[in-house]
Amino acid sequence: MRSRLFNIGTGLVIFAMMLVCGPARARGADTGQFDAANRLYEAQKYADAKQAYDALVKSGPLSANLFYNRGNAEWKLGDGGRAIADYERALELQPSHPEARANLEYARNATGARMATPVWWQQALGALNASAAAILLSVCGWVALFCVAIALLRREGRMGPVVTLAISLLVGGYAGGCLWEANAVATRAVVIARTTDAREAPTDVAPMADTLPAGTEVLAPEERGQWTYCTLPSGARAWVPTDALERVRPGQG
Amino acid sequence: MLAAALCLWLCCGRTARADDDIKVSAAVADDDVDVGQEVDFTINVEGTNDAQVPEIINVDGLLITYVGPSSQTQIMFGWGLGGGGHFEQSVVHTYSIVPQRAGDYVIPAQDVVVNGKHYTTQEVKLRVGGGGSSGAGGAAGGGGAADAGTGNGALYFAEFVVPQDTAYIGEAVPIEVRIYVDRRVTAQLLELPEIKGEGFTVQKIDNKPVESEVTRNGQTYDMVSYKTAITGIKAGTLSLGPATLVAEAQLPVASPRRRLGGMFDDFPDPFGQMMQQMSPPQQIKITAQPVQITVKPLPAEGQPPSFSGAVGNFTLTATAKPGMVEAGDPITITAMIEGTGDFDRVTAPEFADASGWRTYPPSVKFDGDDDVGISGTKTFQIAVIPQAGQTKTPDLVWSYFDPEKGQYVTLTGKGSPVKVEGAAQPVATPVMAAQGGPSAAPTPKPAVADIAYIRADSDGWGRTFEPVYENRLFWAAQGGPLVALLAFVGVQVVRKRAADGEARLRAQWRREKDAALATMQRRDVPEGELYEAAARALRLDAAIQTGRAPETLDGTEVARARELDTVIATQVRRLFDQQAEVLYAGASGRRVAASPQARVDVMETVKGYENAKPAV
Repeated sequence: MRSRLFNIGTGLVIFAMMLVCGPARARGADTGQFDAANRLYEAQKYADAKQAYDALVKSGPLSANLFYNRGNAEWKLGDGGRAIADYERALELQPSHPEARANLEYARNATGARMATPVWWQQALGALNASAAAILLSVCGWVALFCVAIALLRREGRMGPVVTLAISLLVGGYAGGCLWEANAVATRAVVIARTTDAREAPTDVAPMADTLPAGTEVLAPEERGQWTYCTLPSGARAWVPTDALERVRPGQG
Repeated sequence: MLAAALCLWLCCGRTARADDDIKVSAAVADDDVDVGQEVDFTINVEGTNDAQVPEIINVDGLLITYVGPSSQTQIMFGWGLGGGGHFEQSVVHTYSIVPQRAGDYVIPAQDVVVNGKHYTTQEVKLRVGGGGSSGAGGAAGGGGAADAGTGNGALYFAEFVVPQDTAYIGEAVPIEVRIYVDRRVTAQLLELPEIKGEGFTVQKIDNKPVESEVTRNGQTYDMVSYKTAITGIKAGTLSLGPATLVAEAQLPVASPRRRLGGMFDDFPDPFGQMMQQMSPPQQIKITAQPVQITVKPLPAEGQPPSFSGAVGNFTLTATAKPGMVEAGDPITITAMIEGTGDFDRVTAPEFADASGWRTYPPSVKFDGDDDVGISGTKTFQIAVIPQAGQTKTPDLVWSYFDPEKGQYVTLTGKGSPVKVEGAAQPVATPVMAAQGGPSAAPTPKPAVADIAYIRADSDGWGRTFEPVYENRLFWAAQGGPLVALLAFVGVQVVRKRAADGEARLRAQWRREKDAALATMQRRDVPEGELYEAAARALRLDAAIQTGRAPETLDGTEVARARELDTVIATQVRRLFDQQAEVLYAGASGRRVAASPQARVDVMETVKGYENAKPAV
């Protein structure tokens, strides 16, 4: 029984590695264009560098460094909101990017950007990004199914599969929570205007709900034409001009 | 008859006074009262009982509440030519006045509307004394700002408690705003105090005030103390305050002598003496008067370069983790500044010498030890990346001004020993690194006050924002474990079915063996059937042991199925020989009943066989 469980575990580890490595297959990049954009930045031609980075983002493939460098160029051009959005994107692609994290914090401090303060369970569920949570959930699901099969088909030695089943259900539940939280956070958007007024109704004459500095993060934005209904860092829901926001993850919404 | 005559008389005479006869006047029942002593204010309109008067009269310092109208109609009889009779109508609108503080007041002329025409009363003067009242429930003195700081007879007042009257620019001074409310007043504080003061910044006010009971000038007050801290931001003698706070309160009211009527007017009202009356709920503003604080400039002499404006008393500790890294890997230096002062002015420590290190802007966290944020620990986490050859993290320096000593203090956070292995990596200066050449080494660090430099290493291309589950390959990969699971379940089911079939076959063999043993035990069993049944029983037993079909087993194989001793093994083989002999040698033995001895021998052989251990 132990040997069989070991074999199943080994198989699932290989499966997890396939999940990690498969979809994340690297595509070749035109590093020449990237180097050229970096040289423009080095020469302090920040506007030209940003244009070059924009072209690379448009053509793809993408990398954390590409967004990080574009964020730097935007910061040098005084566009703190877009810089913060790009640092966020760099961290989305590579959560362990130390420079992006440092610059994001620096830029937020400088612009006075605000973020919703996550509560303890949001912090706990924010430990895994969506992909890691999906892979963990998948592995736990299969482990649980194998354990159920073994427990049902074998007459003796059921304790091992039952304990493993319980552990995999616990871990799988945590992974599911992480996935849910990651999806909730994935829709966030960043204020790119220097400051923008959030209003209680989608009109310029509506009472003001808040004033948001550049780089402020809003959640669950729902675009309704020229206005976007979203959750402010204070937790209140209000309307923000759509052109004052930029989504961190392209294609969401 | 009498009624008809009255009507006729009224019709002949005037039914009411003309508009020109309307007279309005105003008066107070007593023009000299004490604070808190209720007094009636009336507007008297003669000539009609339908007049509109203001419901709200605002006079600062007086709480005026409209009570209601009281109308009167008199029929005046007149005789003679054209005399007839007429109505004398009047209405009195009564207001209740409760003085809030002492002083001379003028209740302005009031507008009265009768049949669309406007009339005006005269002004009414009221003098309110600040002395105590001996009446039951009488208010002892006025409340509000006029008595702030003294509490002498006031129903409510507020004051600043400032422990020092001089401070340096940037020095956090803890202060209190104390609100005193007479115990007889029912008050609910509606908001935190609002403290004004040009030249000061005010920390957040502790929203959990301390409440206690105090006695001031012989009067018992409920005291609420709000704590906060102020910081002077410019030099000079500055005025802190006023601090104002709004509360909803019901104030004790001293009723005027009640009009008991007639001869009882000269007697005091016993109920007014005994019962405490309270005014309707009203908003009151409690104000603490400003206090003067002298703010001194920081001395220019001896100001260290690392001084950033912090004033107070602090300590600095620094740690670094991990202690061993590859060149290019980050180390986190944690600098903790602990103490008392305005932490808004506490900035990150600077590196004494950061050559050979890349440094990044710090993250900041503040943990306050008190509720107003002037005592606690500010923690800075600074990421640094060493180049090869570093043995300790750079020292941190940070300066502050100590107001007690009146001098600047520079603190040093000693660097921690580290072991850096490997060659330096071009972490954050990849532009140059990508170009190659002699300038490939990392660019000197940008100042902490700037963003980290761009990266040009081309690692990690091909990343995507799509989570893995939006990729088809992810779902295709789920087929692997699904197939494995189905195969596993299939194999297990087949094995289980095979095992079940084998178990059923063995059960059948057991039943057949029991039948054979039963045949053997019959007294009239023919000899041929006896040997055949015995051989059958042994074959079935061996089949149960080995799993082989009983028809395929001969005597030798049956004997091997159990660990038999020589005697039993010989007997078993002989039994099979006898069975073969009877079966094939002739038919006679098949019909003749077996001798008892033969039956005993066969039974013992079978029993001895069954008792032997199964062969491994």
